[in-house]
This record gives sequence, C-alpha cells and structure tokens, in this order.
Amino acid sequence: MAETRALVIAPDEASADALLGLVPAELPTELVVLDVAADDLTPATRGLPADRIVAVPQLPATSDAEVAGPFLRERVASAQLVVLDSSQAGRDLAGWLAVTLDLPLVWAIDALRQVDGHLQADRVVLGGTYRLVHEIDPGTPSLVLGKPTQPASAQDRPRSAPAEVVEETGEAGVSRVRVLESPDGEIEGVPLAAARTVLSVGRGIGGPDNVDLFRQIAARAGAALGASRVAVDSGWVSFAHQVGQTGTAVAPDLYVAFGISGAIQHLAGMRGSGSIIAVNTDPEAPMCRLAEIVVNADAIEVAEGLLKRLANR
Amino acid sequence: MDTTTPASGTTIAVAVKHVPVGGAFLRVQSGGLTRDGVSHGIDPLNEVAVEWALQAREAGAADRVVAISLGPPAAVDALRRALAMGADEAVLVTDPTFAGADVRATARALAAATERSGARLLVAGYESLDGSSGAVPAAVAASLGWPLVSRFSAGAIHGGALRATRDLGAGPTTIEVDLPAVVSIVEGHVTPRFPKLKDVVRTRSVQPTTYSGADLGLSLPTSGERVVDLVEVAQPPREPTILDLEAGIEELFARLTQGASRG
Repeated sequence: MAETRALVIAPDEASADALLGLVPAELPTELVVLDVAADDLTPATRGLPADRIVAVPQLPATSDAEVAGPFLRERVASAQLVVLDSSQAGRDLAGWLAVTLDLPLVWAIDALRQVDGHLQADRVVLGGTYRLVHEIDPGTPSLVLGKPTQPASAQDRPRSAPAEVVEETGEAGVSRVRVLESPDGEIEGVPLAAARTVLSVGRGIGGPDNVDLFRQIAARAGAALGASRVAVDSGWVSFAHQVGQTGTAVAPDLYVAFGISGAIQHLAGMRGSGSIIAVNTDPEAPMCRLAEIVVNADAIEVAEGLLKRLANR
Repeated sequence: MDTTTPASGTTIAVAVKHVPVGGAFLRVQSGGLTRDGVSHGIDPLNEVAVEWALQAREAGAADRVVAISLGPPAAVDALRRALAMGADEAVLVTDPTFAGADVRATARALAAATERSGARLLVAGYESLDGSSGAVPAAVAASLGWPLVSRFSAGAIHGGALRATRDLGAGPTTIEVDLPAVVSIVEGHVTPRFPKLKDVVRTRSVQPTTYSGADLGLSLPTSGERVVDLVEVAQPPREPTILDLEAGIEELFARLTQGASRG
C-alpha cells in the first residue's frame, strides 16, 4: 500500500495552524498556504509540524475555484488525504476538485485518525451529541473539509526536522466572474481561525449600530470578533466573522457570546471552546446551557460597562 | 420532453431540497441515523432562491422558472411548494440507488437535470439546512463547466449577464458574470412570498417531470467512504454560574485582561 500522504490547503497562516492540527501526526504532510510569499511567512508558521511548506503568493484566499483549482489539481491528485478549510472558498474549491478529479468528499470533520491503515474521519452531528465516524477506503484519495478544534501549535507534536519552505508560481485558471467593485481595505482585527479569545455578537445586540462597541472591546482585549449567522445575514458584520457550521469553526480558550441564543449550526462551530461565557437575558437559551458562566443581563449594558472598565485600566 | 422550452428567453432553474425541518434534522434509530419520523419540508433557504427567480421573471429578465429536486418520491412536497409560490415547472430526479448519493453524484444529477431543463442559470442555496457540505453548487458548476458565483444576496439579469453582490469574507463585492452560470444565494435580502391558498390547492396533486439516474445517463460512483459508526458523545453535566450585570462585567474584565497578558 502506498504511503498515505497528507496535503493541507490553507487560505492563511492561522488556518494553516488550525487545519494541520487535524492531520494524524504520523502522516508525511505538505502544507500549502495561499496569499503569502515564502519570505513573509512568520516563524510560527515555519515551525509548524509539516514536512514541506509551499507558499503561493499569487492566489488570494478567496480565489474562485476555477482559478485555484487548476493550480492545485496535480498536487491534490497525488495526495491521499487533502484537508481544506470550511470557508466558502474552501468549500467551492472542494466541490470543484471532487467533480474534476472524481474524489469523495467528507465535511465538518473535527477529527482524523489512522486505524489499521484505514483513515477515519469524525463528523459531529445532532448538535454535538453524536459523532458520525466515516471510514475511507485505503488507497482512495479523499477531500476533507475540516472543522479543526485544536491548532497544531497547541498540541505536543514531535518534529524531526524543520519544514522545507518553498514558494511556487504556476498556471492558475482564469475566472469568468468579473469583479466590478470591491470593498475598501482589509478585514479589521484578529482573524477568527486560531484566535485564543473570541467575542461574538448575535441578534441580541439589537442592530448594526451597536457592532462598533464590540469591535472596540475586541480590539482592547486582543480578541477576534465573531458573529452568528443572523448577524451576518442581516448585514451587521461581514461573513468573515461568522462562527458556525457555515463560517469558521473556532475553539479558543475563551468564547464570549453576546446576545446569541445558540442555533445548532452556531454551536457546532464553537462548542470545543475552553471556557464559554454567555451574556443573555434568557438563561434558558441553548448557548446558556453550554456556558460555564451566564451573565443574565442586556448585552449592550454589559458591553458598555466592560468597555468603560477596559478603557480605565 | 422539454417541449415547453421557449425558443428564446431565459429559463432559470432553482435547486430545491426536501429537508427535515422544525429543529430535529436526524434521529438515532437502532444505532444509526435516520431521517424517518422527522417532519420534512422545503429548505427555507430554497424558498429565498425561488423568490429571487420569480422576481427576475416578473421583472422580465426570465420567462420560465423550473424547480429541480434530487430526492426520494416524498421530495415532491418541496417541489409543490415551489410551484405554489409560482414556479412554472417541477423536475424530480429520483432513484433508489441515489439514496445517500455523495457530493459528486448529487452534483452530476442536478447538472444533468439543469441541462435538460434548458436553463441558463441555476440558483441554489449556499448550503442545505440539514447540515450539508456546502460544496454542491461548486460541484454542479464544475459538472456543467459553468462559472460559479457563491453567496450572492441581491442581483439582476441584464443582457445575458448577471450582476450581483456577493460576500466571500472580505465584504460585499459587486460582480458580473455572463450566463450560463451557477449561483448560490444567502438569506437576508429577499423575503419569500407566502403562497396563496388557492395556489397550494391547485398544485397539490401536480406531478413533476420525473427522471431516474438511467434516464439522465448517470451511474453512481463507488463512493470510497462510508459511515461505519455512530458514537454518543459524553456530555459533561454543566451547571452554569449565573451572574448579574455588575458581577458579569467584573468577571469578563478579569478574564479578558488575564488573556491579554499572555499575548
């Protein structure tokens, strides 16, 4: 049987750390990081437990699948396990690869392991009360959309040698989608993937005008700003902030949920957090049943008081 | 077949899925997961897609809306909902061998049915309610060789192209794509209409055009992966500490500043 080789395709360095945390430690692993030049990789990324790190500066993280796909297809075709992130661009790339290379695809995977030469992949279902164990045939290359819970850097992984770091340019595809108008600037603040503290907002914060209050708290606390699907779909914050099944899966040391009742899809993306604090006027909300501490008060009042405390520190 | 396809004008296909609704998506039954005994209906996100297509037709940008579903015979309910809302036709791809079809098989079936419908635009939800991969629209686009626009919220068809707003994470972006294309829609900008009672009654016994896998020239790939186990996850009993406003602010302050000191 051919040696199982893993390929991780990450849209950024934080996701690289998170996704690598899913790969069984014994597998030879190649890590592809998009949107970054080899010279710009941080020492932390260079120290990740991969055998080879491939920086691909020419592909933005949100590249269309028909742009990134042709660039990556040969590399994917020669790997046995391909781990992608569950962002929309990751899902689109996975869908493109599944059809183009005729590969099976499993999703929402929070654990991978080798059992007697078979690869097993766990998917959390029924709001985290059960896990579905998939088994992948030996020798069948497969695509995995990851929902990582523990970054590689937070695990005690033995490393034999530093990763070989290379930069690659190649033949990317051409998008048939014309971008007429892009948003200004970059997403502000700490990225969600691999953040150690996440402050998330939901319906209970009342409206888009109140988001800035939470941005300020997050900035002062060095935390990432997260959001429920309701807050994102209502246009209060951009999709980059969405935590959950559709957005980013997070497992920080501390997760604070302001005014989030806790839909199953949201809980699926954050239930692995170390400590959960729910700020909610309804102590019966599903989020409060998951929380270690419930602050039974109005989210805005709590946030205003908290910002005042942080500002006077 | 497809004699109703207009010689000119644009047909929009809308992918609809019959999903478990009302909270419970799946049930545990004799050690496995089942959808039996869970109430089903059209995925609410698909109603948004149908509404968008109907509005495009009403604006004169399309002249026909076809709802397409892949699923068991009971999926006809989701299609009838789309018809009651105002879709012109319904297509059901149903085949016992497709039960548990993977992303590839699902995408190829939807692609084949879309092609047969004569549509130049397929509108899907960005993911389905029952915890899907969210990769099917991209896989359908790859099957058809059409470009993909993911997560659009608003958009209009003009002169053979779709101009739309999408957000892939960097904020709202205005894009344009020539048809044919596959697009996935998000909630938030289009509110689905509620069908009139007379339309619900009128469509209650409508039979969709039905295809089997063989009709569409499809065979199921050997999946290469299977579910081997369902394991209950131990839930640590948790009795949360309840704090009031003042104590809550102090606790959050202490936790957040403690975190900051570690960088």
